[in-house]
Amino acid sequence: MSSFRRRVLGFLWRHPGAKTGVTLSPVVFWLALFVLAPMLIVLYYSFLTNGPHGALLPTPTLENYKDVFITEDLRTGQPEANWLYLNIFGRSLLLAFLTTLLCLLLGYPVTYWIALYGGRYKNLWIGLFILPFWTSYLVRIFAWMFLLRDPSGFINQLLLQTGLIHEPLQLLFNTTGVIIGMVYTYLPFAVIPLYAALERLDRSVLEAAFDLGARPWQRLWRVTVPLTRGGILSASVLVFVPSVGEYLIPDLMGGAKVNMLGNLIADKFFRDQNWAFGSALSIGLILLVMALLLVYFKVSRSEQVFERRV
Amino acid sequence: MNTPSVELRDVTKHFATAIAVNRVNLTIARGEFFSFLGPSGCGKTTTLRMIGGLETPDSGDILINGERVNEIPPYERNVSTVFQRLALFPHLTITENLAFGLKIQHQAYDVIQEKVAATLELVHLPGLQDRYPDQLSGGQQQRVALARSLVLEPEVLLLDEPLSALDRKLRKEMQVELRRIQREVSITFIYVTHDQKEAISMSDRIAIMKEGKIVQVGSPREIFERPRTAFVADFMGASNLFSGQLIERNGKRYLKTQSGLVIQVPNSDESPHSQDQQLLALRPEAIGIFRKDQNPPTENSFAGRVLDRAYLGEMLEFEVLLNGTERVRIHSHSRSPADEILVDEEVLIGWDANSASLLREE
Repeated sequence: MSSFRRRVLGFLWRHPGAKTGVTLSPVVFWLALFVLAPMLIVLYYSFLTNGPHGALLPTPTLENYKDVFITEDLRTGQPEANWLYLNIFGRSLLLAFLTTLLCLLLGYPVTYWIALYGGRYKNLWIGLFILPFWTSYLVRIFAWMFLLRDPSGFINQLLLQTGLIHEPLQLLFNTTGVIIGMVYTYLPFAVIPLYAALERLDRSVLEAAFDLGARPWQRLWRVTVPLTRGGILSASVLVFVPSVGEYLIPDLMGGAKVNMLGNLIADKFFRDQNWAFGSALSIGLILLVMALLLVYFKVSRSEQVFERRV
Repeated sequence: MNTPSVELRDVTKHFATAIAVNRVNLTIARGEFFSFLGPSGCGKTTTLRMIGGLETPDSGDILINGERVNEIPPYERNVSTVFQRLALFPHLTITENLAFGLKIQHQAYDVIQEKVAATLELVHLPGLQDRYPDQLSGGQQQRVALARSLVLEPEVLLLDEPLSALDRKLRKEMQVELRRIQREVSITFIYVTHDQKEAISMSDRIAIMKEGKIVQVGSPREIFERPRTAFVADFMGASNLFSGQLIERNGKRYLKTQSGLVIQVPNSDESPHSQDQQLLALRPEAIGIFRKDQNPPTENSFAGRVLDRAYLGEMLEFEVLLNGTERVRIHSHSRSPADEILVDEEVLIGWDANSASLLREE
């Protein structure tokens, strides 16, 4: 062994802090290069002044952030709340919230059934749920657009033929279309953590609830849901975070009429060539998501007390 | 006599192709401490779960308090189970665990508080109301599981090997506790265990199960002293079996084995139904072992050679060969003259004829 190598190893042995640093360095390097650096660039841009033809002038300013919230009345020149953007923020939050809720409402019963009654085919069922996830996202969205089209789409035709409806339903190029697309896309993100939570649920605890007089619904609310709260929280975060910044689905299935934050940011960058303002909006989105994650970690830490004993 | 607490009529249950419980008939009286005893896979837990409503029988009837309950779901049956894995609600405090069933019955807050406090006192668990199950020791969790069922004052309490997770000392303690609690509340207890000592020390009556069938029902004393089959005898620890023909001499009955041993048969035993092959069971601790130079007993004694000797703590275990073919297992106190007996020594063994028992069936 060379004396250099021995000295290096000896140094690391005597300094455990340095050893941890060396062990973690690939991860730190990776994160710095692919996460931290791009974020810092966006942060830097958000404080620059927008010039003509998409140029960025190195004059530091807070204007971009002000513009997210405040605009000037066209006639009076008085500052007022920028409802155009605030509405988009609100709509993004609302649609992401609805998507999360629907993913939980659809995912929980199915996952419950698979985890408890799936028997030896459990993994197959879950696999089928996740299978479409491995094909192109764009292809699946176009496929849905064909299904939902009005009036020639499969779903409208089926409902018209069976006489359930007389007028074709407007399922595409509106909020309904966006919700259908997002629920479909993000359902696997809900199913996986829900399945993990339901799968490790102690069956005898469920039997005990029956034995103590709880009817199926009472058992669900008093035992099953509380005991799988960790999985429900994880599912919510995994669906909510990507939905709130969704860009492609509102663009395609919302017919570019349903604007969400992702669309607004994309427009600022590409259509308006205003990278500084786009960056400020992106930072706003990141802060929003981080705030929600902070709440999640706070809540999930207090959950752990119940999940220690499985 | 009033209606029995639990009655099983021809109850049968299959799992896939295997038969778990095979035409079980049983009547359990109110306030009785009844145990199902048997090796794992004998159907005792399945029987218990059918009484609790967690499994449904394929055929036959289950009656609780005289009423047929086959189709009644567990949450509508007035029985409660203490599960082997305890199954406490990990997300609820001890008080909330106990209050679970009462809240579902929509009992008043004051009543719930009162009952929970009284039950915690009954199981000797004061001062832990606000803890969560995982903050309690195994023995305390056991008491909580018991209290959670008792607080509902069920007609029948089902206990599925509840003590199997506890260490020996704690298990002994809980056996005494269970017995005390059962006397105090006078609820019918149906207990499942594979531990014969546990069943004997706690139960009023025991049903021994084997391969889905009940092979013998009786008081602990009956089962211990008068096993009906070789399986029961062996399960209860009477591991010495002699097979042979019954003969009579001077008004006394003897068993003549193939190797030529002539063993006196207890005279209290009623006549067996056939005269061919009979089995005699004998407990290892009922046999005395003596050196040749000691004063051996006169009646019912045999010469043999020690094949093996093992020290088991409070007792010694000998294996003695009689007549060149019959192996006999003997337990004797480790602080007795037998301690000096060594392997390969020629010895005399003997026992009181009445401590053996003639098996009645195969």
